[in-house]
Parts: sequence; structure tokens; C-alpha cells
Amino acid sequence: MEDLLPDFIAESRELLAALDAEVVAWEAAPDDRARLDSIFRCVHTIKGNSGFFDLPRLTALSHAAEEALSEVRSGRRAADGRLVSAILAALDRIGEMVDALEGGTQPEGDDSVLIAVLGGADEALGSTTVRHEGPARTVRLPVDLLDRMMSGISDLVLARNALARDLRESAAPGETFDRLSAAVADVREAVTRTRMQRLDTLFAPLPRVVRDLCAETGKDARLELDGGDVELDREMVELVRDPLVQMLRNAVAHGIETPAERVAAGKRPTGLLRLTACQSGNSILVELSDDGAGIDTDALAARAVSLGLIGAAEAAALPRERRLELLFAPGLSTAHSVTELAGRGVGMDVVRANIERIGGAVTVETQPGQGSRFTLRVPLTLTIIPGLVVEAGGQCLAVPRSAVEEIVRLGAPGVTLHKAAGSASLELRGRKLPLVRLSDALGLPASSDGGFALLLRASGGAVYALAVDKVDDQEELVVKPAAPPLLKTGLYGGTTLTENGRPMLLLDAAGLAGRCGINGGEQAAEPGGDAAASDEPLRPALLFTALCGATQAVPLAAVTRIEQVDTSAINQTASVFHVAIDDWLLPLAGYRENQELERVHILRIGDGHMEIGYAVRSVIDTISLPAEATPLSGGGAAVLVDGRHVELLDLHALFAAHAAAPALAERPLCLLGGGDLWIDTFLRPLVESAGYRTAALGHVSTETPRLIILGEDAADPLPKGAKVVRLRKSAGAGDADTIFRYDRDALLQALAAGRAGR
Amino acid sequence: MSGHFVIACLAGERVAFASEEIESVVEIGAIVPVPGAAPHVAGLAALRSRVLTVIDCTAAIAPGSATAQPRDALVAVQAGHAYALLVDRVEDALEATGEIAPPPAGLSDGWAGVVRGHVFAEGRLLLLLDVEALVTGTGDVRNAFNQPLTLRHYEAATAQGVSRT
Repeated sequence: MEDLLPDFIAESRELLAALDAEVVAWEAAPDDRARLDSIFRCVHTIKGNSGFFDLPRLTALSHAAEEALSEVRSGRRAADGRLVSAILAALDRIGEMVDALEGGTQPEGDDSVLIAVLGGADEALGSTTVRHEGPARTVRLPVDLLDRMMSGISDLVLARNALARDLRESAAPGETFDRLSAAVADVREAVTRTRMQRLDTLFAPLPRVVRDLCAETGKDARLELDGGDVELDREMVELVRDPLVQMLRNAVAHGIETPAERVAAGKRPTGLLRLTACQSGNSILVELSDDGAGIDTDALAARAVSLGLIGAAEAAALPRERRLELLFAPGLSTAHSVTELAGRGVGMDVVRANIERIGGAVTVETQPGQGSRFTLRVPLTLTIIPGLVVEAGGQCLAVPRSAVEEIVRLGAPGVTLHKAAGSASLELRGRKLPLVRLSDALGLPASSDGGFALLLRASGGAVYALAVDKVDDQEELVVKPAAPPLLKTGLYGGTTLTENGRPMLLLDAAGLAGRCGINGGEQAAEPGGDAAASDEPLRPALLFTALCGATQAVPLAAVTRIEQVDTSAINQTASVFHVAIDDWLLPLAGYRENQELERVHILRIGDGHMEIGYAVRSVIDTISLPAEATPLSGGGAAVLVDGRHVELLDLHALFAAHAAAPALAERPLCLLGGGDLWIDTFLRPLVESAGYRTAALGHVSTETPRLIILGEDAADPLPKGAKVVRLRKSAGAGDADTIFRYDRDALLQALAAGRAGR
Repeated sequence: MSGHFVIACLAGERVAFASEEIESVVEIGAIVPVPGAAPHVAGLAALRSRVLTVIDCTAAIAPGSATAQPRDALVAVQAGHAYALLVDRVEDALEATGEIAPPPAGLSDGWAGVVRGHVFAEGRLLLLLDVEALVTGTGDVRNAFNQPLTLRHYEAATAQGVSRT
């Protein structure tokens, strides 16, 4: 009898885990007879088993639940929210009793109130909490998987025997070794499978979580699940559980609006949460999307400022994506009030930290008014990961490949090291990254200045450089969890063995960054807090040779991109040059005609509102601008770089001269006539990419369109005040007022001219 | 209650470990240091395909000191992680008679954190060490430690224990 108890506990747990989701689904569709029957059967099974084990309290409670369900089945009672809550409470209570049984004690307690409520009494139920299951100690495996493992082991034994024979006979073990390798791979794959678990087990309790959350917040939301058949390492499932529940809490508490707000916004009163999982290469993607209010990035920034996380000026300068990243800043909660659900100190920073600790990543997208989507990317398994082996201070350490963005050789051209008192940074292609020397961080003997730097992604997407002496090969690492005394350092994520059987530590990129005081990554590169280094704020700038041959510099912050184009892409209209880049016409400065060059570099310079191009002969390097600049008589300024006079591009003058360039935010309206397939699919994208909003001709609006494009023979009445472009279908010479519709250059010029208001 | 114990020599004392906590006795070869870890964590060692976290028991008891010539180690598994406990020498395995008595009073701070009782075996009184405490290491010991276990403390403890048995 005692022997059977663990089986009873395991079976009951399994039944209960499935039941929560079933009951919630049944509440949504009370007429679903099949579902009710299946719930009834599960409860009946638990009751029967408990009778067998002589557990009177368990029997009484499950009997009451069974009776209540039986009344619903026979139509004598309606499945209202009250009854469902009582049934869920009873299932929770049964779960607690099963936990107690596993601990070896007879469950104590009084269920009379609960039984009365199940029987239809109108008494208040205490609030229930969601069961938190302890880690399961048993694993159920399909027999065929065991068979596969067994046959794999047989293959291993046979291969070993063959290898032994080869060795005895001093034969080259080439083919036998291949056989052995194949057998090892088979067994490894099978054993990995034993560690895998369907995500169903993770998903099953979640509908219940959403239901409880809705009840607490007065919201209404439905959870749709997809991808429960995707398999993930058991340990990983456990590690993902808490972050996922936290994200779900946030989605209900902050994302989904109240039913009244939703109706006012023209949405269905019931919010929709979608949780999907899919495998993508060696990772599992888990996506949680909601159709709620979306994340107010301005409110996020304002809140971060009020909490003193960032300065007001800094916040104002942040682009939208970076503001969204503030969601993951420690100590931030956007809720106006700290509710029961969210804002309990477990924020998205903890979620991100937990996911990154296991080599995963969290990203978020949001559309104001339409909802948000969080994506968790976690590695398929914890046990075998690709990693880089590095050396520092005479010690070998491993770094998870997933954290490494790039490897650069220190001293290579384009890689500049800056050292200020107590802090160092690395400059690469205009990025300035905090530099940590691994030997220093670990207190190992200092090493030479050479070596390599790994660009590592720490938490929050911040990147920092880690200097090491040597980078060895990439290896598949069999990772074992680190013991608590190792985890306590915050530096290591696990241990592994090298090929020669020596233990090796696996570095935790985020932990290391935390220990070294790197939080903001690239931002932290700008000295500010450090008194010794704060005298001169370093302003990175791009050094280039202008087409006139002069060496000039432009602050890097203003450069959005660097392009290389054929000079044929540059056109002149009136006295203004334009360059076509990706069908987008940019006003071009710094260009003169009759250039002997066939290709030029275009610096795309933006002020956050509009963009212009600046033609240059070649890009030299990125530099740090000195604080002192010499004003030049004709406006602008010059600085000394390595003893050379460098002219600073006068951005204000440049933009003032090209003020007619289209404002990104104010796109002029272009009406398209005809409404046929060609206009819609061929022409419209071109017009829009040239910086217009489009609408069909006949579109009723008070706004005067800037441009109207229509076929040569269309005779619609045209609004006044707009420039009209007529397109003809034949390539040959036609009416001088028309443009052949595939004369792209002429069309783009017309578009550019229209946008410039000429 | 009687039980089996592994007897080891540690910081000049003879101590006992409950044999059910000890998986095996091994000789430790090369130890790979763990930079940044607490002083009592000597490093990592490989035992076939397992990675053992090596705990220097001498350092756990008397921070600042270390086991000389690490040689013998006791392998213990705590919460799923395998540890090697470095001791000066493993001496014997024997059966103790009588109950496990509470830790004797008057232990110096270093020892007090890791002793979970004492046992009487073969006519001698032995301090029974707590594997979990050794592994965790007692953080505050670092400051408190300035008086190593003296003979006087130990004699007092012994006298107490003997009178009780």
C-alpha cells in the first residue's frame, strides 16, 4: 500500500494540473458537455483513489466537488462563476493535501465551509492562491524512448568491443571510431529527449492565472494558447515559468484596459491575450501578445525621470525604442498605483535578468492603442551550448556564444583604446564601449596589452568589451549548473570540462557587467559620474575627406548612416542636388558637378526631423572631438586633430540652406488617379517611399494635395492648387506634358520637385 | 542511536563526518581556481566527467589559512551539487556509540559555525562537522576569527561530553 502512494500523488498532480485549465475553459463555454464530463471523470478518479488509500478528508472534499458537478450534469444547477470558483478552490485544497501527503503527513484542516459552498450554500470563500508545485521528482517517459536509449547503449558496447579489437591488432580505428561517434550522438540525442518536456505543462495553469487576475482587477480577458506541443528542457521550463507568469500579470494589470475603456476605444470588451511557442533553430520563441492599450513610452520616460533613473534632458533625447527599453530598468513600474498584482517589486528587470541568466533574451514591441508583444527567446537546452574558450591571466574560461556579438583584435586598425583614471573604453566604428579587462575583473595576474576583446551583450541590450589574452576555438560545451558558492560570486553561470578533462568556468556576461558596474553599456562610456574623467565630455565624430579635398569632421551623433552611391544617382534640379537612395530622394550638400569620381560616399545627416545627404570622397576614421574649437571667420569652426587642422561641418548652416527638404513628420499629400491595379501596386509604393502620403483621387478632404498623378487620358475634375503629373503608357515621344510611366528618373524628379513645392 | 562516521584530521583536530553524507574519499589532483569566490572555495576539480566544487575545510574554519598539501578529500553531495571537502588526512571509518550530543560550548567562532554536535567513538570524543555549513561558509567568521580553537576550549568540551555519556 505504501508503495502505491507515490503513484497516487503523481497521478493526482497530473490530473490537477490539467483540470485548472479545463475548468476555466468550461466556465467560458458552460454548454460544452464533453468538457464537463471530462472534469467530472477526473474528480471522480481522485475521489476513488483517495478512498482506496483511506484519506477521509480528501474523499469528503472530492465527493462534494463531484456531487456539485453531477448536479450541473443533470441540469439541476447552473455553472455560474461562484460554482466555478468553489470547484477551483476545492482543486487547490486537494493539491495542498497531496503536497502534505508527499511530505509524509496526514493533511490537517477543516473543509466544512468549502463543502457547504459546493453544496450550494451562500457563504464567502476565502481568497485562493495559485498552487505552486514543487519540482517533480519523477519523470514519465515513453517506453520507445527508453528502448532507443537501450539500443544506443548496445551500439556503444559493440563499438567499444570493435575498438578494443582494433587496438589489440594495432589497426587504425578509423571506421570503428566513426561508429562509436555515431552511437554516442544517438545516445546523447535520446537522453536529451528524456529531459524534454512539452510546454503544455507550462501553459496548463495559465488560463487559471488569467482568470484569477481578471477577478482581482475587474478586467475581462481571454488567454489563447498555441504551441503547447513544443518541447523544452525540463529545467528550462521551470526557469521560464516565473518570468512568464510575471509577464502575464503585467499584461492583465497594465496592458488590458477595463471593459468600459475597451468599449470606448471601439474594441471588444474582452481582452485577448495570445501565448504562442515555436522552435526556431536552437531556440524556443515564446510570444505573449495582448490587444490592450500598449505601452506609453512617454509615461515610461516621465516615470524614469521622476524616479531619478535618468535625467530629464537625457530622457527627452531618447528615441522611442530606447524609451521602451526603460521598461526593463530596475525599479520601474508604469502603473499609476501599485496594485495587488503588479508592482510587487518583481518587475521586468527581474524577468529579463532571469531569462538572460539562462542564455535567453527578452524583447518588446508595442503599438499605442493596439497592444504589446513580448518575446522570450530561450535556448532549447541548458546542457549543451556553443561557447568560446578564452584565456586571461593564465586561466581558461568559457563564454556562451549567444552573448558574444563580435570579436576584435586589440591593436587592429579602427580599434582604439581610451584610458581615463580608473576606467577604460574601446572605440570601434564610432561606438564607444566600456572596456573590462577580464584578468582585472577576476583579480588574476595582469597580462600584456595585446590580445582580443569580445563585445558582449549584457542585460538591457547594453554592449561592453571584455579584453582577454587569447581566444581559443569555439566548442560545444556540456554545461553543468554551478554550485551555490560559485553562483554567489555572480560571475559564473555554470561549469564545464575541457577536452583534456580539466574543469572550466562558464562566465555569465550579464553578471560580470553588473560586478564591474556596467549598466548602460555604450551610454556609460561617456564619462559623467567619474570625477576624474568628467572634465571633457568625449564627443565622437566622423573624420572624412570632403570632395574638395579638405579634411572635415562631423559629430557622429548627427550621422544616421553612411551610403556609397554611383554619381549617376545624383541629379540636379534647378541649383539643388538630390541623391536617390533606396528610392528616397535626399537633398545633397557638399557636391559639385563635373566630378571625376564614379562613386561617392554619402553621409546621411539627420536632425531628428529631416535628413540631408553630404557627399564625401572617403571616410577616414572616427575620432573624439576635443572640447576646444577655433571659430572660423566664414562661420563654422575648426579643431586640431593629431596636429592637423580639421574643419567642423557647420550643421546649422547646412540644414538652414536645405530647409526646403521634406520634413519627415510632415509628408505632403499626393492624390493618385485611376484607382487601377497599376497605380496601386506599382506606383503607390514609389510615391510613398519618396516621402508622400497617398490617397485616391476623389478622396474628400479639406487639405490641398501637393501633387496629383493620373493617367494621360483620365478626365476627372481636378482640385485646384496642386501640381499635376500625367503618365503615359507608351515609351515613345508623347505629349510633352506627360511622363512615360516607367521613366523612373523623370518620375522621381517630378516627385522631388513636387515635394520641394516647385 | 549509533551510526557510522568518517574520521578525518583537520586543522590539527580529529573530526567526524556522518558517513551517509559522504559519498566517497578521493585524492584530489589539479585544482582550477575560481576567481572571485569566497576564500573557502578552493576551486574546481574533475572526478571523471563530474565537476566537483572543492571546499577547503581549513579555510572554512580558520579564514586566512589553507589546507597544506591538499591531498585527501571527501566527496559530498548537497542539493544536487557535488563537493570535495579538502581535509589534512582521512584516517578511519568507525561506528560510534551513543547519541549525537549537541555542540560543546566554548568553541571558537570558526568552529562553532560548522560543528553540529559531537559523538563518542572508540573512547574518544569527536566533533561532528556539518557538511552544509562547511559548503556555505560562515560569512561573519572572517571578522570574528582571531582566536583559533585552543586546547583549553577543546578540553572543556571533552570534559562536558564525557560526563554526559
